[in-house]
Amino acid sequence: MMIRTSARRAKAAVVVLLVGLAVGITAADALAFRMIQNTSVGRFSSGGLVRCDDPGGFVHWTSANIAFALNTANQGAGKASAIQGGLAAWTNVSGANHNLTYSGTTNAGFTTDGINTLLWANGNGCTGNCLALTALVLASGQVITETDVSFNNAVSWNTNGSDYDAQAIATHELGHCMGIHHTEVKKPTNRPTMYAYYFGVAGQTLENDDRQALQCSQNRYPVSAPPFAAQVAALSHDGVAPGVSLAARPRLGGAVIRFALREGSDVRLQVFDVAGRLLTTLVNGRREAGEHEVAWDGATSTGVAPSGVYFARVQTPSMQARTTVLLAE
Amino acid sequence: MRSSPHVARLVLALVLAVSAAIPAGATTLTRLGLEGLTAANEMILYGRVLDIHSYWNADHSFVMTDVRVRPTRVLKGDRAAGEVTFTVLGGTVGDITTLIIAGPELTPGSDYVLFLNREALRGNDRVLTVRDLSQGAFEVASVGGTPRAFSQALSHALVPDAAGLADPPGGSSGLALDDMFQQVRQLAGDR
Repeated sequence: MMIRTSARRAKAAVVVLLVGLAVGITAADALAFRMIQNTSVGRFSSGGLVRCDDPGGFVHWTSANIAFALNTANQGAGKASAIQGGLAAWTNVSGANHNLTYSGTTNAGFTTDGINTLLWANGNGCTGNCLALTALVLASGQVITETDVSFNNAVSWNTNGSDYDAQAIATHELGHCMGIHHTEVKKPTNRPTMYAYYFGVAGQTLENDDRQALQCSQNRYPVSAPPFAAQVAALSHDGVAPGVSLAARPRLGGAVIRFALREGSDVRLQVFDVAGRLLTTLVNGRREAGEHEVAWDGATSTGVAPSGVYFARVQTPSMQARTTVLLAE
Repeated sequence: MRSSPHVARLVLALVLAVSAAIPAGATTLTRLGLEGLTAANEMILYGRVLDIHSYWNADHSFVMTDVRVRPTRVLKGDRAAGEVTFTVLGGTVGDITTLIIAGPELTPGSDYVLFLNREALRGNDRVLTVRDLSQGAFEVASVGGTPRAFSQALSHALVPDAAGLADPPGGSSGLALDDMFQQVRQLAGDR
């Protein structure tokens, strides 16, 4: 009896320990990222470091669409793919509408000129042991109006993952451009991109902690939907286009999407999130004239979409229509 | 000697540094020891920031800030220097602020050990500046009656140096000010 009780207690203790550990890890991860706060009043500051819920808020964008240009002078030549990779990493973030785009090359420099520029140079305050430097231009209310990144041209840069990998450090610096400070996650593997020592190929992609930081910005300072909604609206009529119609209704645990064809045709029915990211293709093949219904339970190519608002688009070779989908719990 | 808000800020910085084994920050800087800092900078001083003045540069392309310091001790460089003015990128003019992530943090009335060098800065050659950003500025505070210097890089993660070290000189405990003076002078060749 004593042994059994002790064993039970030990088992319970292990369970409690594991649960506590899991909760602790989750809590630590959830609180690890930090945001940049403008604390310049009465002093010279490089930006404070705060949690997501800091009463003083943090620097942020008010537009979802943020275009970046590359100055190809010096070692900027041949870095377009690396930069585009970095921009894509911060664009494909679930739960955040920020849409970082590559606007091409520029002659712009490390100046306050309204152009978000990435460049390789000397003399921009990043010399010696500085690898890259990010500047944020803020308007009142901690609103980011411009950002530039100057990479130290005296350092040898690579695009193959070896030190110093342009895409990895660009991804890191672009995180700062989005108002995110270095994380406090210190686990030895799968370190966030916003961890200062994290370079190489693995540093080119985001971890959960990085995504949570951008989601924090989105939640506190929501930015409007990116151009996808407008783009779809411009391309098609809401729900009805000549020869095709589309509608959706919520149902328990998902939604039902219905489309109708005047004539038989090849059809593609896809679901996107509000940022314009493709979540899933529900139909891709020939369908006959008439009405068709497809149930969507939120499954995507990478997991399950949370309840919320999405877009569905139906396309035939000659026409398309779109509608809003409310995914219910 | 220190104002209480400054002490509170320093305590907060220390708490953050201790609670976060990896200090956070921004920009990407490789760690520099006192040796590297001393070798790379032509002027090293301990002094009080008198005032800061931010302005648009001549072609209105960047906000800059001039910082005026009264040295108490010059550890390297012109010892006869009275007041020293250096320039850093960024600052606030009207409603516009330019933040240089991982730059130094400077408050008028506070004391610092500063590592300064002349560098090309926004098209101007040979401008005295804090070359090594947050690594080139140490806040000074009295701890247990002894003045100690704390690197501002404590709040900015550093890429490890060749020896694998990532903490700035003194780490979260800081450096006893007199010891730091002695080390810097020795490294500067003044024994």
